[in-house]
Amino acid sequence: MKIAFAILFFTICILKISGQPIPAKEENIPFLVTFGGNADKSWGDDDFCQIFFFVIPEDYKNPVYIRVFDPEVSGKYDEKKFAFNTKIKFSVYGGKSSFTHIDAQGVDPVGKYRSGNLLAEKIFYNNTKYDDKWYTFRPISPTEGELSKVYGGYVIKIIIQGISGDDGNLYRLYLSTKPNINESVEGSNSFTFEYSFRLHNNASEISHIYPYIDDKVISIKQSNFDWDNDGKLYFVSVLRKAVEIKKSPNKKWVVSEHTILEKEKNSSLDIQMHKNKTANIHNNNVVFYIRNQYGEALPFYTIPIGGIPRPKSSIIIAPRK
Amino acid sequence: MLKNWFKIFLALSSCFIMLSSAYGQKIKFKVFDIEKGLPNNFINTIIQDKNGYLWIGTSEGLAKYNGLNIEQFKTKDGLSDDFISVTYIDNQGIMWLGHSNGNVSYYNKGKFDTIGSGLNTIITGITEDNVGNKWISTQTEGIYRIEKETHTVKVYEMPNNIISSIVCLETNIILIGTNNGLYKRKIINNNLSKIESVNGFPSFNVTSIIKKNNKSGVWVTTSEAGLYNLSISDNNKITVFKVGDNIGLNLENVQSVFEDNEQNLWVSTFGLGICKLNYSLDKKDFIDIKFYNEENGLISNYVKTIFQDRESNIWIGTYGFGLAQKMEESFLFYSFDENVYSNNIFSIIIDKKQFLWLGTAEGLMQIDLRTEKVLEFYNADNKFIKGTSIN
Repeated sequence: MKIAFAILFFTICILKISGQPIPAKEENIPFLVTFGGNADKSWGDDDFCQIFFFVIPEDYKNPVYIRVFDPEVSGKYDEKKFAFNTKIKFSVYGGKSSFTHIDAQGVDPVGKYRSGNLLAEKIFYNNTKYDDKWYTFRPISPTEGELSKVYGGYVIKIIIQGISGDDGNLYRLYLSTKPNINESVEGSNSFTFEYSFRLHNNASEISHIYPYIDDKVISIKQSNFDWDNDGKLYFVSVLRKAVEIKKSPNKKWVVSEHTILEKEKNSSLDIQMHKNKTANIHNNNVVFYIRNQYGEALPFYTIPIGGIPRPKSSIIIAPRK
Repeated sequence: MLKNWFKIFLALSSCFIMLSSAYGQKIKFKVFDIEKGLPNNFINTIIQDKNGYLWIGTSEGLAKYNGLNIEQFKTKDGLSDDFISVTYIDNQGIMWLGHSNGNVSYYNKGKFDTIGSGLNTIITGITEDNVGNKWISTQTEGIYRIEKETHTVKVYEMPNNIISSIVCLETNIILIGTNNGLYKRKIINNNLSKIESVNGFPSFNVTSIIKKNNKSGVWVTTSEAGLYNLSISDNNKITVFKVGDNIGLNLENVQSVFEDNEQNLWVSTFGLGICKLNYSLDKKDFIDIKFYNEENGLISNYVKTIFQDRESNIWIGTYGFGLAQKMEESFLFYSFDENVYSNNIFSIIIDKKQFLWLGTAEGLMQIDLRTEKVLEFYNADNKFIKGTSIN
């Protein structure tokens, strides 16, 4: 019996280690969030749209499955405004231009942001069938994605967009090798150009996001929306311990510009969100994006490229295990 | 007294249910995958040409199977793209291939050639009108016609429609499947009439349209609500029937359907494997359902397409696990739950009442061959016999 428990425990540990959800463990973000198309922006979603990209290694030949935790809008986790009345559309795209089209790499859902071939689509609403459960889209052939040598593999796009209603859909994503369990695709990663997510209610929890600074970046403009003036926002780099960045009030964007040092190129920044322990702000949703000096949006990777930046004597707040 | 009888009835019922659900019939499938020479394990389409060769369109190239060997074809061989989304063989026996880049290739006299559309979208269907023009559906850029002789391309936009399939009827009516139901357009003087929705067809996501073998209409599959039978009269009146309600058919994520030469329908699904609707010539209706899935031997529950060749072999295109050929069902493979029965069979006999008796390492089993259910299991526990092994 002891051996059986040991095997079970070991198996669970392995599964956890190999897990690769969005948000990732390194980010310590509880949920992604997308509101219905008629919601008030003061709830923390500027455009009711979230776009993520999955990168599958070019040599991976087996089916991959995009899984969504709690995709419907009601029940245990979602944010209710009066009665649940919200419809959210999840659409998966691949093929030529699905990623490389300039509109697909923007921070707003305008133009041909739905470029590429539609691989799968489903509208979720108030349906307890999927409350607190995983939904799996159809198997995807990696070659259905758009091959990007720069990003290191086939890129698949998922767009989550609020169609109607005013409630908030809180959900997570997972790129899995199996349809019924979460098993990560070795060597895969995921990124977004605008990140909309829910913060922890517990003020001692610190969330992180990791923009990648490539070699042509001289300066960045970070923008954040609806932080509700809660606590402090910093970035940490491979060189700098904690650079404070501007924080937004309710329903408003704020922008701050920062120079990038030579040795910070080709590495990730760690944007840290420190809540105010006395403000007691709950159910806060925020949006972030970062542009370089050319106005191009930079990708936030869920698994930071080059690892989490750790300068000497930096504020090291490890994500919760 | 009545109470006691009820208790006995309940006990017997639960025993029967336990026994009958504790074994599985295994059906043999021969699998062809990358290791056997396919370019890729994601099968989108299967077709047979006039010479009997089987052509398999995958996400990474085309394969030709001659019964012994598999030969691969890719862009270096003249294809417009490695991704093969659809195939079609026209009235002249020329094979047409649709790609994910909006173009088509065709195979004639031993070589491939291509026709570019300039559209950046996946090809979802190919069909042919009465004079031999090809009509190509694209996912997001409408449909286009390829002139028979000149191969010139003319595009007909269908804004805001995600198109999944296209079929041209003998009467030059084109049926177009979309994510929002089924539409029709008439070919008039080599052009298309205005788009009209098909009355009576629900606004579900259509996944495929297949002509019936007897040309009396089409089968239409949807991702949400299974299968529809569209009967089309000589004056082009379309009547819509839902298929399978009488036999409890309730399918989601249907990908396509294939009608075999005995009028049975093979429905391929993502998640449930294959659902075969058995047709009764006497009752002129589908009378029962049989599932082929991972539980009874199919390699994957994600099936994209099914095809029957001229020798009546059934070929199954899975999405991610290659091509499977269904073997003759007269060779059945049964496996039993080792916790209840035994898979060590020492002796077999079939009696006059069509009961199969198996002598096993754990006891004697009685199986009804008509229902394929285990009726009784005699062993030392229920004191029918001493010891267990039956030789």
